[in-house]
Amino acid sequence: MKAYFLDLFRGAISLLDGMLVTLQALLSPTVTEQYPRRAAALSPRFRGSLALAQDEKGNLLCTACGLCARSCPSRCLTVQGEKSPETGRKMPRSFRYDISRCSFCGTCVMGCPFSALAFSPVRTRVSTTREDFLLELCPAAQKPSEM
Amino acid sequence: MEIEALRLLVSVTLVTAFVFANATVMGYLERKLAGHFQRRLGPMEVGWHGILQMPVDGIKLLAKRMVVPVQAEGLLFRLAPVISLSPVLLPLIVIPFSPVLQVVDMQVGLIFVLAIEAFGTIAVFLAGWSTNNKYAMIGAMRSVAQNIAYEIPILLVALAVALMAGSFSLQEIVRSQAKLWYVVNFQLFGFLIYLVAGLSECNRAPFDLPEAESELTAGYLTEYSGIGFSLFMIAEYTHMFTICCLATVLFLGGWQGPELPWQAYSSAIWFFMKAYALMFVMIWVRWTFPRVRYDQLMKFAWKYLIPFALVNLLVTALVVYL
Repeated sequence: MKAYFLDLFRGAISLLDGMLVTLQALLSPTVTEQYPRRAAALSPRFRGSLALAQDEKGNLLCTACGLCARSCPSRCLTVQGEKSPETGRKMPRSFRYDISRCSFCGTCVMGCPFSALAFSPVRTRVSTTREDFLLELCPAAQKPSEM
Repeated sequence: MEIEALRLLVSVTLVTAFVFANATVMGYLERKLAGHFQRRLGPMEVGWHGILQMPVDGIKLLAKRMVVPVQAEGLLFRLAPVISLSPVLLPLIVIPFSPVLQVVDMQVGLIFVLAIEAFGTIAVFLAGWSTNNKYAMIGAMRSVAQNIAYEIPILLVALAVALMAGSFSLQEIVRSQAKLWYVVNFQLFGFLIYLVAGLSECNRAPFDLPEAESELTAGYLTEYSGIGFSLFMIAEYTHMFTICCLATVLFLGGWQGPELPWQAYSSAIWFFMKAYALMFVMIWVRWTFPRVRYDQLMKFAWKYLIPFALVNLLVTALVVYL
């Protein structure tokens, strides 16, 4: 008999406890965003598509050494380099990046000895054709549509 | 005689219009509150803060075809949604919204409301049975068992209030609470029992076993679409409203409240505020608690609610007698 009433009492307390929790949730601000119109801020460590880093003068840091392409487990990078006639430094002639195969693991970014490769804060990339996911990252080799 | 008939016609039309308006408002409130209870925003797209969401959904449901499954009993399947609406609509006729805003003041108003409301189960069972589908059937059987179990505490508690008021007329019950509402005047336990049993009576979470999504798809609603589905939803919200109205009348003093100008009409404001506050509690409960298991549901009715309601009735009878 004692257990019966104790059960009821404890149950009632726990129910009130639960109601209090949801009431607090009701009164606290919402945490979701109206997505297409407003988006939540990206984390600084967000991994969007790859981008080639530039120095202050706008020159690419990349030396087309090809370490990134070799370290990529999905083989989505293809780098071709040539010696630049002006600086005498090796520069990428084309830097092809197949984003449809990229798993954003970051091995290429970590492996780059010149920090010439970084993730960009691009949240979405939508297209109806597969070719749009084959990006050319080197500005010199870019067609106007591949920006 | 003719004037009386006209008055009835007009007031029943108004009540019906109110039923649909109530379902629209409650549907919107429920979705909005559900969102905010989960720290989401709820409907935001249609109109300012999604305020037109429910009319739009209603039009969509009306325009949709009502699919009748091949194995279903066609006539009964189509009849069930209509039957579900009438027992929840009729009680509104005797509910006193204010001293004069009441369609009919029956001497046996309380019995009328409780008797008519019990019919709702028949619609649910009809829907489940005529669908001829095991989920619907199980949902319907659950609904019947649940309603039988939870009808008893409601009746016992209502009887205790009727004893204190000395009348079955809802208007009289409200008048007898002029000094002190029954919720503080000796019937607090009765009120709590009524609230729990009332939640179960209108198949609301955490007692929504007849339409438990996780086990029964949607229970008796599984095969309903279009207008049939929307009629069931309107019936559900109206049922909630009648349950809350009855709670307001029995325990919260009905239209009693601070004096307002044109008291005979304006005191309906107090009534609606109380009723909608109870509706808010119902929504709040729904988005707080998980669904109970079937044996827990039965145990709670037969081992807790009914004995307590009986003791409540006995003690009330003693106090009234002394």
